[in-house]
Amino acid sequence: MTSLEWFAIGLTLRVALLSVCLTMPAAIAVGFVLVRYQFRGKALLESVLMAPLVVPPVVTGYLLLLALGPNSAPGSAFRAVFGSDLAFSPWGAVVAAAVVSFPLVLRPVKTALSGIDSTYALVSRSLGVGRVRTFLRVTLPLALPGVLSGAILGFARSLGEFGATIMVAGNIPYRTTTMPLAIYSYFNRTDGEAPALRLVLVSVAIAFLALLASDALARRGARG
Amino acid sequence: MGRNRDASGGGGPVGRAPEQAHGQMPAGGTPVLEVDIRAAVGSFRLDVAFRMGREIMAILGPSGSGKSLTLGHIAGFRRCGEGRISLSGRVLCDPVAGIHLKPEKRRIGYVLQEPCLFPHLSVQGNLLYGYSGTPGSTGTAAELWHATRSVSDGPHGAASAGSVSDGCLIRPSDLVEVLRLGDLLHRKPATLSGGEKQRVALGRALLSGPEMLLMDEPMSSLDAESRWRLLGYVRDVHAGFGIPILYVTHAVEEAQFLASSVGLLGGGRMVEHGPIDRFRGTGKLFSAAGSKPVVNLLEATVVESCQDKREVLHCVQDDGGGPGGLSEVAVGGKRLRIPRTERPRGARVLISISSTDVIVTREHPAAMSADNIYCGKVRSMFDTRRGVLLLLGSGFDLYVEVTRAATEQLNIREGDELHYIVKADAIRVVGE
Repeated sequence: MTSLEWFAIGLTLRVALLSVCLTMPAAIAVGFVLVRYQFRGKALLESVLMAPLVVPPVVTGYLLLLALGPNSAPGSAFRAVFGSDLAFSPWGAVVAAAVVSFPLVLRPVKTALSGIDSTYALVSRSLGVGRVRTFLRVTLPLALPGVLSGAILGFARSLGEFGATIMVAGNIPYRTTTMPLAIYSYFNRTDGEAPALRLVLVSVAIAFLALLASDALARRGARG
Repeated sequence: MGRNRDASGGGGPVGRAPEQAHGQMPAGGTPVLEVDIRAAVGSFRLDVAFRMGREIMAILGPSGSGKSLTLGHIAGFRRCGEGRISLSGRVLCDPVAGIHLKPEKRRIGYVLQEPCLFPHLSVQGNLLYGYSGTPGSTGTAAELWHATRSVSDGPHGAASAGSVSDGCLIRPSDLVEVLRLGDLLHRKPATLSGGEKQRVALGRALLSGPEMLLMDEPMSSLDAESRWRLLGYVRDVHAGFGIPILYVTHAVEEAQFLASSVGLLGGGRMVEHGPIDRFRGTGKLFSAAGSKPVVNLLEATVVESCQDKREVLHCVQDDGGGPGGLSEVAVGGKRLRIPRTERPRGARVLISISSTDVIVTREHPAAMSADNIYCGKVRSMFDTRRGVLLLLGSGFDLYVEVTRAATEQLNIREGDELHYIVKADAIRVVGE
């Protein structure tokens, strides 16, 4: 394997992991709010959060670029803190992967949280345990199978992210070439068939492992 | 609503009719819990005021009368619109003063209809869940384990060392002993029976260091046998740890078995409350009750048991009695034949007779296969949702349910002498 192939594999795994680290806490918090509270505009919020599932990733990426580009407020804030642009950087790839995979993470997390009888939380509080600790000691452990399966789905989706990534992070060799971008680049080269095929096989293998793990967790969750 | 109330409080429910709020001192002495709440939930209006001491107080009422709602307010899961709730002098809720203590700060144990044990924790984990947060606890399993080794220590004596009111806690080892949880500690909730689960839930609530306990129809999902057993445990817990218990139910016999004071709830209002003795022999308890048949609970003494082998007349087989043998108990001067019991002669037992399992006749039934035929006087009779309930005085109180048609046919009036018949098989020894 060439060093660019190794770079692409390493970057993709790091981007996917960081993406999960961003989406998990957000999905748990948002899922909890959506399950436990009723408020105006809840349906609208849910549609917006689920939109990346149906909007073409390239469009999502374009919108992200508008929102996070060097001239936008978040973009310049990122620059002020980290000294570099968010767009066309590996961090751009992370944000793109996180936004696109968020609906896939949110859905199982929300389902798991909604399956938990709120009476457990009520009992916990009557036992002298406050809201936050109740969530950490009862609600979250009970929702764990769903939370983990959401994490794995998000990880797998982030591995394969292409459209939004190429818009936000570009396809800069040894900087933002994730596996899907590298496969695309190799495929466009006359001598790139072999490396493209190798990366395809690696992608398929990682994705399958993730799905198998998710399945195993779902079955464990079903057994209780 | 337009009531004249004193926001500075101090004296408990203010602005109430005196006979409602002040006229009835709680049976347990100085009031521990003082409740005066008015709240609207949808179109339902709750308007409840009462006080209780360190006793077990039962709140009786049909479904939809606001029983659970009342408990929800006391536990802190609902905000009352007006009023005041205080526990041992601490104000838990007073909207005028802007006080609404969070449920976790109230120190009120709450046992619900469903045990709601945390399924991801073992029994031990469930028991220690609230305990590990209480002051003075190490929260370790060792405190529970201590109990299984020192069974010889009397639970009640040890328990009295820590009184509930001064914030001192019930020791886990004592509790494990009283509730007999030793063998269950390492099991997961899913493997427990309904009665065991509820016992663990009761223990879990007690270990969180509560100043009082709320129980919301804790027996309703249990079969008759586990129900009576658990009632015994509730009584033991009250006797052993001295913790006040507010017990919501629609089963009159549970109230009669446990409580020393009763509150009758109907349509969101406390219709009447006071010591339970005031209600005995009246139909009031039953009018507030649910639609299940009334069960008589009687304290009895074993007169002849199958442990006495050959001497016993009613044990059919001479080698200790096979199935079908009978034992005999004495209740209020009468002897009742009951199904074979292993309890020794002289043992005090609790027997239950459903009011629907008793037959009454005018004439003495001469040729009759039933085991228990006695005479009783109709002390009072009252209409219930199900039919007519007769209270027969026969050395002990026996409630008998008959249809309205039957009372007319037999022309039953208060003061009449009736024969009553109970099959031995219809009598159960509770908690055996």
